[in-house]
Amino acid sequence: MYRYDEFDATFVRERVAQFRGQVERRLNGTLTEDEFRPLRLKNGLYLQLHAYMLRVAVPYGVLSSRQMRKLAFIARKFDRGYGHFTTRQNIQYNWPDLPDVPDILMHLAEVEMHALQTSGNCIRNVTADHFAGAAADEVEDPRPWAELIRQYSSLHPEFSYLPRKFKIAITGAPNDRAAIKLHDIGLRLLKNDKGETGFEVIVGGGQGRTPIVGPVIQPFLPKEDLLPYLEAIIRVYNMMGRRDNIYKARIKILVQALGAEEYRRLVEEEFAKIKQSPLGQVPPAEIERIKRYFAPPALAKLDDVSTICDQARAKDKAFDRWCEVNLAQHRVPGYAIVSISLKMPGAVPGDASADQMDVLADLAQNYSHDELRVTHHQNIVLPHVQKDKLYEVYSILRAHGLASANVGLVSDIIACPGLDYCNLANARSIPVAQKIAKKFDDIEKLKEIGDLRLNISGCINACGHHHVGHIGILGVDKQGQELYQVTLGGSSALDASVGKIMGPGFSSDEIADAIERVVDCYLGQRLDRQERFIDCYRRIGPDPFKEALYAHR
Amino acid sequence: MKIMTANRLLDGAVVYLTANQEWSAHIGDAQLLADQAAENGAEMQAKRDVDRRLIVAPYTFAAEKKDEGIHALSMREKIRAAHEPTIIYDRGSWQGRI
Repeated sequence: MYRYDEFDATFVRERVAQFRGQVERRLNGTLTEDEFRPLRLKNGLYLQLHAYMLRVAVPYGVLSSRQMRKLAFIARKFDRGYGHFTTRQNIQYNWPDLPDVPDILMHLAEVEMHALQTSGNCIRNVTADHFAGAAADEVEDPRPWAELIRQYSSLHPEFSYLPRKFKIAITGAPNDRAAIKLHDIGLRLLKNDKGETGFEVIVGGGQGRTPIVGPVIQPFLPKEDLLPYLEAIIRVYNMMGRRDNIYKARIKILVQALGAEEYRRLVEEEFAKIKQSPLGQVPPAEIERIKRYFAPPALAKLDDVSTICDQARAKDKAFDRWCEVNLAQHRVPGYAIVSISLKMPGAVPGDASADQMDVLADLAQNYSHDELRVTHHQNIVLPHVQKDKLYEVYSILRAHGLASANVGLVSDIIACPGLDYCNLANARSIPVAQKIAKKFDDIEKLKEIGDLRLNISGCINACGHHHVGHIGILGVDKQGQELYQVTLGGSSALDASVGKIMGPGFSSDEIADAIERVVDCYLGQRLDRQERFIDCYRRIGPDPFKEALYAHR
Repeated sequence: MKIMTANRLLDGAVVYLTANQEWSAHIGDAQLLADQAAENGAEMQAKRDVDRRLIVAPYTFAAEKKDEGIHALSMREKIRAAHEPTIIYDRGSWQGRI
């Protein structure tokens, strides 16, 4: 993984010192809150319902064991012993004190981390496929390109005051695990007919108040053109994006207003100019330098079949079930990608205690070449685990309550913090997630239902990505009461779709039963066990589900 | 009726303006603002305390007084008054299970 050079380390240290000075001036009154607010937001520090909240960047979701241990340390020393992994592959701390934040940033800088550009109208954390560099279906590892974009976008002088926040996601596989069509810019590495690798470029996707599946504006962009093309896209947005209404200021609004074809024309026009400039190409030496940091770890030559693992699976049904659900195919024989669910029934989706973070760090160091990933589904991945060692890993996870075999299933719920934490929320999301997870807390039932993505957002900002849940739940406030709307048919895959609202909302007492009726409808209507929920919905449409939801009313 | 609330500058904790023109973490200590003049007075005090670097983001919200004390009317303010999320952490029930 990428390691800071002297420039990076100095930059982050200086930024910490700068913020320390800003906090001092805030506390001694030299800076007012109006002056301080944009400065603290630039360092990822929000004021939420109960306390400040610090959002720490985890670039493209990649962590080392050293970094995870530091996150655990920060949780213990400066917070309440836990952190929350987010739908943008970051981590949030919910209870830091303002005077401590410079020290937190100093500790983060020691392990090459920071909280820069996790807020504000700038280019945010670049997210990536959480299986990058390990997945069997990968065309090319997207992480070097994610790192290139991260460096390019950090304090970019032209793009630090965009009309609104800007989110980029990148994948290197045809099975899109990065939700690229729901981002301001989505990038997919692919091969053309000549066998050359380049980028498919998607612009103007997003969720929130106006969910839109982004159109492809460039089906194949040569790799060396990536930065100038991004520059062109963002420059056009920066010049033409609305600044009069924050709800109409995202690039998706501009692309819809102009039309994808016109937006593309404007981008190509700008791109042609940039190509002639000194910034006209990704510096080949730089991308090669970055790629060296992402060279594959020294994996052993092993048989793909692990007798040790197979024997353990035969003896331990729970382990067998965990292997069936939580593993993904690695590109190297004898290895597996392990997904660790942070959605244990009764727990808070995406939360990990400091102790659990330390366990995860140890597992990464001892079993996964010192590497972990944070997924935008709020889980953790160990990308390179020998199959022979899977039972050891599982046993450790189980001992620490981290062995839920529910990744990608209905109890693997993605939920924003909601009204329990967030200033913007209208309704609580976590208790709803817990009720639903409890209702489906049955191994056989989960197995029967199969793949089902359930997302919950506590407000229309959609941080829980409910628009792209196979089942989505949106919490609203109706005359002082929390109400939950159900959407069905969303998907964040390459065949992305926005979920459709089914009808009137449900109370917090009713919603879990409502979801159960939706799932029962699916089980009754599906062709066979191979037909997933989303495929069944797309085949039969919303009406049977609406009837199931509302027939009792 | 309304009460004035804010977040403490140092730690962001929820606080309420009392009749003594101080800030308490307990909603039960809040001064009830019976009319517009009282609200105006509270706003002026809050502004002074923003300038004194005690609090940030002050605002008023609807509350009611019952026999057992002052209560927020909205879910948001009830959660703020509790100083904690409403979540029940059930870290035990899944121990030993998958």
